[in-house]
Amino acid sequence: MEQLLPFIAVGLGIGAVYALSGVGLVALYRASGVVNFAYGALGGLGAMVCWEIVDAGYAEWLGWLAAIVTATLLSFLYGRFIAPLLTHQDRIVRAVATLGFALMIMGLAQWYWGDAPRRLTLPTDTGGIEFNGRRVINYTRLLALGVALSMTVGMALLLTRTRLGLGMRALQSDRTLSSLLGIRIARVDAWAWAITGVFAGISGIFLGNMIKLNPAVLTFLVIPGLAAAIVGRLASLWATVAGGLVIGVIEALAALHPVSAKLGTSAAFIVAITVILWLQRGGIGLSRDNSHLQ
Amino acid sequence: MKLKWNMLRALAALALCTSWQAHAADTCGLGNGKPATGTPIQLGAVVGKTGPEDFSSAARAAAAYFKCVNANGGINGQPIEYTVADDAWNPETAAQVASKLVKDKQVVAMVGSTSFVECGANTKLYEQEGVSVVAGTGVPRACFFAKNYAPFNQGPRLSVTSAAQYIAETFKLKSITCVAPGIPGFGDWVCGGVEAWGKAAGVAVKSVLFDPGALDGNAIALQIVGTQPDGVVLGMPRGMMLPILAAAEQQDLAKTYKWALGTPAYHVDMPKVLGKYWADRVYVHMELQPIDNDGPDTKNWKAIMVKYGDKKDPIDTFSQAGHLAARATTQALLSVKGPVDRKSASAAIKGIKNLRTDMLCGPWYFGNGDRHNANHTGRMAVITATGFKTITSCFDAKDAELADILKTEASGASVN
Repeated sequence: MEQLLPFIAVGLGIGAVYALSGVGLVALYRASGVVNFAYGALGGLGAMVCWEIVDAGYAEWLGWLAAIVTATLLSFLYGRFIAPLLTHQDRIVRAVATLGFALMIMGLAQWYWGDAPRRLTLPTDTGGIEFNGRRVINYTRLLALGVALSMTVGMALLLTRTRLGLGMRALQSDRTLSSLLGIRIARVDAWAWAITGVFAGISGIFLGNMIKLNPAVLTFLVIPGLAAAIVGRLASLWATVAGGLVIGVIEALAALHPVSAKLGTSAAFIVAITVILWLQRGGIGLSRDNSHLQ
Repeated sequence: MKLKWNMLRALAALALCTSWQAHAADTCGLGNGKPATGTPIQLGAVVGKTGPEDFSSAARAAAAYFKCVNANGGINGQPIEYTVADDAWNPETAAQVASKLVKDKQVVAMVGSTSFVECGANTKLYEQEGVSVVAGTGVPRACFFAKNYAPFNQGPRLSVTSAAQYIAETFKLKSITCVAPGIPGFGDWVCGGVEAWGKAAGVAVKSVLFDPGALDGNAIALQIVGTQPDGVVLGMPRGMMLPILAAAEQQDLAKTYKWALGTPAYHVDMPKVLGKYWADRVYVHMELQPIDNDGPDTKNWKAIMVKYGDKKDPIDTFSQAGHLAARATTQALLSVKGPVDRKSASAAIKGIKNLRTDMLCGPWYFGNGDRHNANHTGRMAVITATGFKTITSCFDAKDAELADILKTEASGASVN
């Protein structure tokens, strides 16, 4: 067990960021019904902006703030001006549109920053909890875990205790009826896009630090977040968190053996497919809202 | 008559050596300051520019050198037209672009090529078509086992083996883990060198070969922990090293193991990118001489990069190798009597012997051997808070695979 401890700890750290990404995706899906494939690209762009600012000699906190503002602003602008044009399109069309948005962001970031090796360090990288003289987990991963859990609590409270949350839940149930009841759909949608942008900005900083600071790599890190969201049936925040953590830990434990190590990055797919199959066993769909499947 | 010819060759070789040692400013080719205006001589290169990592550094340095040559009389009045093709890390693309250069463009030689995939795809074509390749940097095994392909670098296998040798001998290590991407003909070959050396030296060597398409620094760092080594060597491009080193830093693995890196880490930006944590804790092998040495050839390389290169051109070992490849080719082409075509160019290039420069530890040669690995002597540096500090003199890589090369050199065929 002592040998497994560092693997589990590392897995929990990265799993926390997958969980955070999953919650950000679920928050948007619940309000607007859009699966946001641009989540990773938004986070990636934020992380690159953060690096640029810190590299230019400005304070680190300014870089973190810029990352979150960049991702939030772009996400909000898409949600306010592009997404409404596609409201009456099929859900798949709306999801594919975000994929186009992701590729645009990634292309621009790749063009501007290129492939030069870079690192995004955080002050919490250099310290950590030690066990038997070996660092088991560093403070960045602990911070990621704390941030993921706090933001999930915050999101749950927003959904259950605020007027905006009520609007988001109403849209999740029935957008037409919500509109007839006077809920300002465009406004709630725009807020949901801004919220997912905040989540993307924070996830981007952590993933840029833990995985690799490269726009293309970060763009495709939306996949484990999506897998976590699928574990939560694109509805349950806490099941999404659990999904993210499980994916992270499985990925890390896979490194224990050379054969399983080659399958480590498939952990997200394996978990998502397993959960989908398990949920389908009684004919239950992905979420209560199956209108898009009809 | 034969004696006279040998004397002439000896004098030409002496003149070549002297001219190589004499450059301290941005001098190149004929050095007459007159732009070349004749019929262009076609040269080409295949590089892996777009893909997991940009491998165009050597070709960029070669391009800067050829610009200088064209501004200074060219090849006896003929300018060089240098075409660099991107293989995008795709063997099929590599074959297509090489065919275009060799068959359509009719290049007389290839210079400064650097690619993960082109050697496996194209060395047979080069041999069939009689094209000699003075490569900047050879990457996989196929680049060092071809008749017409001679790189200026040592190759990742020798670099990583040398790095392992250094940390094992200096710190009396008993076990080492070699980490490399599992690309066929690369990772297994690179870490195979370390394993073979370890067997002979009594050092237990384990290999971690990872999927380059799904690079996860944390998983690799955990795999390293699982092998429980005393030391770790990384043999891969710089961009792949960083996530692994970042993950190792987050797990504080520099405290537990000694770390050494192959030549790609020898880049001016690397100490800054790695940060304080790795200062004085990670060692880097240099396949060529340090980039800050005072030699006239090194100064000339830098001066040419400033005057004829782009501001974004990297200043690293690959750039040094590309510069040397361009310079060696230029000297060879200048020695051609009569028209410069593929046949005469290839004969001149294959005649390069005993090329000595302050940018290399030992002499370089092309020759008529079935394979080429003239450079097998390098040095070690340690990454400090501000840069690199060279910490050893030149030493040979201990790789049994070099036996045939050493035999050729012992016979004197590489210098006479």
